[in-house]
Amino acid sequence: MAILETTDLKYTYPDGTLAVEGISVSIEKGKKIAFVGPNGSGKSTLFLLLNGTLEPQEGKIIFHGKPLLYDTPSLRKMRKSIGIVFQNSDDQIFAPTVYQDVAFGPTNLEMPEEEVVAKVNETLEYVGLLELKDKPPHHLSGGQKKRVAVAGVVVMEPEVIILDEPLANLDPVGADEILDLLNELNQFEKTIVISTHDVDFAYS
Amino acid sequence: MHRMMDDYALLSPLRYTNNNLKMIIAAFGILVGVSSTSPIPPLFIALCMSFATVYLGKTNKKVYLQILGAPVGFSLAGIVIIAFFFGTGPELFGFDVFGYRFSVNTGGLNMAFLVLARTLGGMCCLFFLALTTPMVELFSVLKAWKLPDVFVELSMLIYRYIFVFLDVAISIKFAQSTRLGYKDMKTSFHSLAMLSSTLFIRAWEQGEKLFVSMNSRCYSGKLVLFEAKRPVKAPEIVLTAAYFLSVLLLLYFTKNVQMVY
Repeated sequence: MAILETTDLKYTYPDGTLAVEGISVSIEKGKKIAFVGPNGSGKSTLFLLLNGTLEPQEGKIIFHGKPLLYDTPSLRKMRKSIGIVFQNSDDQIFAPTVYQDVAFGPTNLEMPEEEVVAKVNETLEYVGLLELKDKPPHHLSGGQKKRVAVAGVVVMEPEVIILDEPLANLDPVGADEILDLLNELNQFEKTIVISTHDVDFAYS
Repeated sequence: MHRMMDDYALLSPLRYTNNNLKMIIAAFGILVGVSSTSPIPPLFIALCMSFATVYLGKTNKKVYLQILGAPVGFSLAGIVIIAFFFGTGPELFGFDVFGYRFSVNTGGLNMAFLVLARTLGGMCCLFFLALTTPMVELFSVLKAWKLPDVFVELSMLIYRYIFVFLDVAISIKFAQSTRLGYKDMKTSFHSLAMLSSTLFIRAWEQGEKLFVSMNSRCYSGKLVLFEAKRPVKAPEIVLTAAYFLSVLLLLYFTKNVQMVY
């Protein structure tokens, strides 16, 4: 069952660079999908199109069978169900402590405070960062920061998790941990979409 | 990577105590120190605060003394002047320079000791606060003082990104140094100009990227701060009360005690 589809997507950057053209993909629920391609092939652009950040010149994004309208309520609804983890964790972690950063998502979704506290603690324990919850991000290693970024997205309970080059800048141990985390999330019926230029990783 | 005061504050176990309590303790110490006429209460305050910072706050002793060294050094230079040029009273000792008499009298010496004691007391109170209260706690305090939300939110973002940009600046500086970018004055200025302009552009780009990622997490325009509730515990109240009482008693009984007569 396709949860996210695109039909004939075309997007050109404001400076004239053609990023994607004629892209029609269908992402099935509960699957692990890898987009493999060289640097500059438009993978990150595609992801930003998928979550509504960029609006394509041609083509449509179809989510749960309905085309995406670009008004604020639809975008909010979509972004609750489609979470993106960016390549560089520093682009994503902005709060002074780990706890506050992970709590950002649920607070924006206007959950009651006790629920937010419970969810954040649960997610932090799930990614293994509960002892670090009061630490500022600049005291964390690359792998830990990546896990904070993932936690910040997972806590919103999305249906699809998109990760842009999740293993970039990670050492083998950190990479393994993230891989295990992703596999586990997939077991919980979350659709995982990643982009990478490591073909071996894509096949694993 | 140099450790900043904020790093020490983050590691201190006293970071989890109530911020208002810490501020009251520090403010009390400063006020008493400034209003005391004898150097003994401020010195006692300095001792208590140092004890609290090093033993309760678990700050490294050596680091603490180093940090304290700067203001104490300044103050020592100042009190020498005070001792020689101020005050009235019988002369204690002195010497002649080109026919002009430099002398220290009792009034001057007492004033000098008082100033040193007050400086020490005040600085210890301030460092107690600074070394046990990391920036992340101060955000809750700013909010409680009803500072405008936009100001607090900006502070949070700036705090986080200072470290990101510090790393970028250091990497660029290293990259330039290894290619002899700082070999002489002219080249250094040129390299510095390139570093600052690149940093500015990176900061701008970072802002754009952050906006995209915050939107992807359904940013609605308000950064709601999660404040941990830090209740004041009974032993802390008892200790603080004992401290206040002893300081006030000392203040009363040493009202006219001076160092030299």
